[in-house]
Amino acid sequence: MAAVHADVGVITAAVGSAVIELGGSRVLCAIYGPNVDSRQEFSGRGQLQCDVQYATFARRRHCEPAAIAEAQAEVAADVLAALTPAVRLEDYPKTSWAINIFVVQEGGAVLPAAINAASLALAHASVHMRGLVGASAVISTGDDMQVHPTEEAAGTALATVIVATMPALGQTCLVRSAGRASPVQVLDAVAAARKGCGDIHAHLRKVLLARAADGQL
Amino acid sequence: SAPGPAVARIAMVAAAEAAYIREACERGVRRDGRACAEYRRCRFAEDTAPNAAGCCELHLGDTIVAVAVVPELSAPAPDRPREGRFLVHVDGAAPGTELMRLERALQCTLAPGACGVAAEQLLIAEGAQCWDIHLAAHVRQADGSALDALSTAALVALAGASIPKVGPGAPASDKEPGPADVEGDLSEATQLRVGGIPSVTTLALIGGALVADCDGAEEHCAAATASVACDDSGDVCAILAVGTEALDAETSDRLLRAACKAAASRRAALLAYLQSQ
Repeated sequence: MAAVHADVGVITAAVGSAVIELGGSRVLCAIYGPNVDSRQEFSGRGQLQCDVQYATFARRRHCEPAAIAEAQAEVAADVLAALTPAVRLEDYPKTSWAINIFVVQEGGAVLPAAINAASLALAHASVHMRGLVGASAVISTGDDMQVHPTEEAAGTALATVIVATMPALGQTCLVRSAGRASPVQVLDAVAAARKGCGDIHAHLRKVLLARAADGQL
Repeated sequence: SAPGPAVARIAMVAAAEAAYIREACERGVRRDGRACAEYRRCRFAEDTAPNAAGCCELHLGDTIVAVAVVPELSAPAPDRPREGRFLVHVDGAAPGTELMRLERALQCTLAPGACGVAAEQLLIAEGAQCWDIHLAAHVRQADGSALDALSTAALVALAGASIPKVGPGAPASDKEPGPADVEGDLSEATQLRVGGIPSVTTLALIGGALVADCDGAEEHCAAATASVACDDSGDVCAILAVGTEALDAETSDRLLRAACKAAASRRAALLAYLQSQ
């Protein structure tokens, strides 16, 4: 399993911020809000807005701008899908929270790192949430499965399954799978990823409790 | 008949109506009288774009989509020198964010490594030339299950598409750098083997019941949806399960299992249709 490092409060100008290193991916997240837009139609529920940017040096190989833009849009959409069930948006009518994610380095699966960073940053910002979201990736190589794969391992995967859950509540927010596998292999990978989410959640919780003990939350 | 202007059917669902739909689905009753696992009437029309290499217009209830296949000569990606590509473009009568979601989801099912032998069939010269298959999709009217409809129409259009049969010609000389010529009679065409190209089936969780082929209002009321892409062999090529509410593990597994089963069953029906053509 790849190493996991996390910290909060890395961007002092933001309401909440976090940095995550997971499986070779390094992701920064900053939370700004609550923002009020008078042009917005009245809604009893708040909104989450997510923007993802890749550093120009984030990938080992040069990529076309269109491919980077597509990857950014995809990660942003999935981060929103994973966090929307967890945030108590009904507590923030007619306002929005901005989640800004910066991918410093892409290695292994970026999406779980982005979701974990955003979840930790939202908790650091004291945004009302139902539970802390943990996300993990599992790769299937046919005979074997690996949780939190490194970049080298991810390159040989037949299928990748990414799951985001709220382990404290035992609830699943997002399941995404890409690559070929039998339905049984996919469901086994989902179960393994749920367990990985629990491990990540414990780590994120430890970081938040340490900061709270220092009086920095 | 000539196609009319694109129409967006935006589901405006009041809270009381949403509660009615959820309770009815929980009791196994839908507004149009269908059972929870029943699909709307589906109609194909395959000669709607004569200029394209292949095309299909699909009517799934009040959802109408059209897909045209346009092959274009290109070079393979450096990390996949033995394969061509499938590129998806979606436009039409739906909000921009929804069209982008449909385009990303459809592109994900046709990504490298997910298309089986179909991508290898597009190769002309290893590392030098291949066909890029552009799938131009248009959502003329959206009333639920647009992703399923687009995926099915894309598969039928690809199955009927004629790709010119060409081979690599003389390599470019040192004095004239550039891509190699292709040679062959462009009137000769080859059919793609589409068995490995996945098609998408979506199940929704509404009021505790698993509902297939949601219309616009039912989609609005769904707590979660699971879209599964599978091919002829039953392999799962992509899954996307999201929702406005988080699900407990048991419900989530039930939704995923049922979605995989529904995808395989619907794929078998689609295969039977393609074989009958």
